[in-house]
Amino acid sequence: MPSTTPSIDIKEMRVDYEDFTAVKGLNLSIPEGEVFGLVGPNGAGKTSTFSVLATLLEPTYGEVYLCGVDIRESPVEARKLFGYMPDMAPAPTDLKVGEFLELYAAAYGLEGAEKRERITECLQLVELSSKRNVFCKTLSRGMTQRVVLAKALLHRPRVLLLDEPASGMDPPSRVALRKIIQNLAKEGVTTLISSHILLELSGFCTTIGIFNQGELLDSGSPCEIIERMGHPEESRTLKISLLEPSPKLIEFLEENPEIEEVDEEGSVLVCRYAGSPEQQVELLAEMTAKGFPVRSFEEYAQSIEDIVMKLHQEDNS
Amino acid sequence: MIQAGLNWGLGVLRAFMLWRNPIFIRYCHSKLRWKPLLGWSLVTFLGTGFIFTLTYFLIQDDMLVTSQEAAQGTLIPLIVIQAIILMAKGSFSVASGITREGIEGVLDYQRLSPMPPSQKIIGYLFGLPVLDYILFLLTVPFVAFAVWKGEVPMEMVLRVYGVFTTSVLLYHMTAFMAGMVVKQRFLVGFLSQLLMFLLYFILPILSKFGYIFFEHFTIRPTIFAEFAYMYPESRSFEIASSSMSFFALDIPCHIFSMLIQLLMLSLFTIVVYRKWRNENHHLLDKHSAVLALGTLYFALIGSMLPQIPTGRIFPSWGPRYLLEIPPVDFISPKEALFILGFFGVFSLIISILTIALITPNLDKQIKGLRRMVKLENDRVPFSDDESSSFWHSIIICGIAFTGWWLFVGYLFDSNWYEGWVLSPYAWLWALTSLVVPIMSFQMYLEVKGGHGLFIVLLIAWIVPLLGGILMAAASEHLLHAATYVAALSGFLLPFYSVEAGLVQSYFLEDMTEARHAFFLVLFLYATLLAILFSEWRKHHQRIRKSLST
Repeated sequence: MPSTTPSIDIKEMRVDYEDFTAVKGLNLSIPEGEVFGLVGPNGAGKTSTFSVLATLLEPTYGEVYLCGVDIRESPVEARKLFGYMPDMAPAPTDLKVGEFLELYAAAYGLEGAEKRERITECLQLVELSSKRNVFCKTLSRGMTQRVVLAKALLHRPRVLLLDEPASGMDPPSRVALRKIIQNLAKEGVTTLISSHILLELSGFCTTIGIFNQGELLDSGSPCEIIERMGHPEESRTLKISLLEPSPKLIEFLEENPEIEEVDEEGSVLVCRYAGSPEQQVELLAEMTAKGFPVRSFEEYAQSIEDIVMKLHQEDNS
Repeated sequence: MIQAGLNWGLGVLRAFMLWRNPIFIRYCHSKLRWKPLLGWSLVTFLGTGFIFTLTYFLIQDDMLVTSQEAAQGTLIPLIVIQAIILMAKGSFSVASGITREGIEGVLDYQRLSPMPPSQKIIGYLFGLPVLDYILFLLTVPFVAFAVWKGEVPMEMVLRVYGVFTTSVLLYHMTAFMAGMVVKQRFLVGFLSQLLMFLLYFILPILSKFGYIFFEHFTIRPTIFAEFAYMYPESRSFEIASSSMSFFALDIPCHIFSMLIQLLMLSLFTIVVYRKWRNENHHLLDKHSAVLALGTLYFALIGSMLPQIPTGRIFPSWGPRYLLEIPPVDFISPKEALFILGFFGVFSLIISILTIALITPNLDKQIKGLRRMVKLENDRVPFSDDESSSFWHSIIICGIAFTGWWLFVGYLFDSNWYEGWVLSPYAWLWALTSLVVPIMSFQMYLEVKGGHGLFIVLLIAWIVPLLGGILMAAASEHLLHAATYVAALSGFLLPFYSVEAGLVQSYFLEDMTEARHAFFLVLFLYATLLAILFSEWRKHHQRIRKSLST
């Protein structure tokens, strides 16, 4: 039975650095077991939000609760609830992997056999059992990330805060990370994750939050976000692959009043199309009837990445 | 309430159980790997053994003393070696270790672990220098032999090592504090050594002016007092006292040293604790800073006043005593005047340093006001880091003036100042000579921030001082002008105020120029203060206005 108390509950949170406001009155509620992906361009306020949640940064004002615990009132209690993995997570250079994990297992109150079992379990989870007696400084970036992830999981946290966890990880490690997060979600662990590899996030996050200039612009399932923020009704991009170049087809397309623009990219024609889905069906039928050498016809789907790119361009302009 | 107290007590007790402290164990792993441990142990054991044996035989051969006296003679070199290991090397280990954790980013992991801050502080304090403690233990057999062979009283050993322990903890905590505050690893190692040098060599120089309190940051007074019987022919050892006068009390020297060091240790622990909880906090909260300043003045005055009748507060006392010149009951007027003004300058500097610790920068001021607006409060709470340090600075001025004027009062009641009389307004000039520069500093800092402050102080306060000295040295004709130029330095205002307040002394006629310079400069500074006050008010109104729009 999932708890009714949100795992992460942020009310009116604001973070300032002198005149610059990193986070403006953020309201966010994430229920238990959810995998919430925070996306946005650099400087959007993601890391500041993570730092506040991890009790490393005091907000200007606002209330932040983790599983009902006020992190400003009871930071020590709150720290027992979450596991945190910062961006470019470091590991101490003078310790071996096993010693590093032992330190934090003990810091979280684990002792004796329980401590040893948990360390073994977490190392297996991140597939680094063979590296137990290796110095952390000899590990690759991706392995270091995995060791820190193991550290974050030692005390079986109820909330996972992962700031860019996949940076430096090779593809198999990323797949493993995704599996770990999905399995933890099944056990009721709530995950707040940010990543610049956005396709990856939309693949396994249950909810996505779009963050820009310190504000949460929208949140919901990846499909809902694309629907709301991608403006599909205005114009769509059609990709038409040809068997051979066809100037007649270009002419035909340019004559169509619903097509705004036709670009030729090798054997692919890219069109901005403003017509209705029904008109799109008619267009395809007409092209086939006229015998144009069409190999494939597809509507280019917008992704979260497009939305973030758009925000980035708007910021720059 | 009782439960909370018990929990706190248990927490502190648990913090000291080093064998269960994860941070201490972590450093036992990393610092005691067998290769470096073996190398360092060999160097220490061989080095200490060599110096000990050499000293033992040299003393016997050259001074023709018994083996018992020779063994006693090895104790001071052994203590020096131990001090190098624990105080110099150990402090460096603490400062560089904590900074390395900060730079690597792993310190934040410790911030996030749910251990109580006391456990973390103890873990680092004893864990970072764990190798140095092991090396120290290797020197202990030599000390044990010297104590046994030299038949040194065990109480004396306990007294010396009691102070040695608190000294070591104080230096390590100083280094820990430096490591928590400064981010650059190289700079922090350098800073910790600099702080140690300051505590051990620079501040004790003030004891020559009666500020005996500062000498007790070191183990020197205890060493001199405890070892005096071994060196009857040494004047330095002879003048060392086994007890310390504090107001009307006579406190054993080692107890006084330990108390002073524990006081400093507590203060530094508060700083580290605050930085541990939130690295953006000021080093001290406003109330603690004022309390610490008050305690410092209490300790200073308490240890200085009993020195007045003996003349030990005057710089000429030391050399006279060391050279066995018979004591006199007259002190040179210039020296007498210097002692009066020096306390004022000291008060000015210490007040400015305290204010620098508690004055919020623009970021904090804005944050505080935003929070205030959000919570619909009338003002930022008085004790918050984000609130203005104006009222606390006024209190600091009050403490500084009270301490100074109490000292001046006692001096004028003593035989040394017979024939000296102060005007009824002397206190007012002394007070303004502190309040005007201190409050100018506070307002400038709050409005303009710390950037460029050093340059401003250098140009406004140091350049006139140096210029005045150079002019006076260059030609006698420039002496009058030099008096006016030097007066422009805020640092010298307390000196000038004393001269302005005297109505009778041995060289009253020479001070007319200084008096005129004081009133002229005071007028200039008061004008500046009025301008800064206006700027300060506008600054606060501006921030409030910017938040409301």
